[in-house]
Amino acid sequence: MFERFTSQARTAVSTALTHARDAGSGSCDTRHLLLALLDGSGVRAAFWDADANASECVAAVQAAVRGGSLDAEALASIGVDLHVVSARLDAVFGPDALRRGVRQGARPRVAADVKKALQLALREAVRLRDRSIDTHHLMLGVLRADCPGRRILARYVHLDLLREALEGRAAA
Amino acid sequence: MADATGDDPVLGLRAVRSLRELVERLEVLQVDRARQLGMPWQQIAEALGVTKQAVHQKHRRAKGL
Repeated sequence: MFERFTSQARTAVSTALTHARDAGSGSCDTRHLLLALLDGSGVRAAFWDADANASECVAAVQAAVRGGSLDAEALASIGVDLHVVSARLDAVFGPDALRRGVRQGARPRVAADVKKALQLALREAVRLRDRSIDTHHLMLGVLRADCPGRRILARYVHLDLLREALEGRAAA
Repeated sequence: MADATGDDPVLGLRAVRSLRELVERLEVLQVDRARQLGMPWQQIAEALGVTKQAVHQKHRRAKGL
């Protein structure tokens, strides 16, 4: 499948892994892929077409991945305040302690939702009769998958409009 | 799907995953600090309730990096 990826699409996947590592996350999920895709001009243009604010989405996704695999919302649901934990640990271990607690040399693994999104991207390319898989298709794959990336996006973007814009860009 | 409230099973499972991750990171930080303070592996193992071999194997490499 990867041999059909354009260089931009390959770059997006490797950038997603970098985003995951930088966030101190053990796995690279569709939120990291989303950040990587929003780095690229092609997907940005589709956001523009769909009248969606890409910068707002980037900020929201960045906020969501900041804790790495630590999900502040889920922890709060059982009474664990990640901000308090983080502050206490910083007081003992120095700044950014939680991030430094990530096992050294651990490479983020590619999460199941990214694998699914990539498969769906391939399917989108086939459906649109495109020979190669570009960043637009990856973005369409994220939109087709029931995944964290899509869930964040849904709060800021009209998904159907974005899908149309991406399909238009892919055809261009 | 249920709302993101305390009774949502998905949220509960995400909490489990996050706690596991939190424990892992906390262990890295604490073991590393204990070693820096000169605590022997045996004592670290006892405090964690695991064997000396287990804690040594898990953390020795990480510290060398």
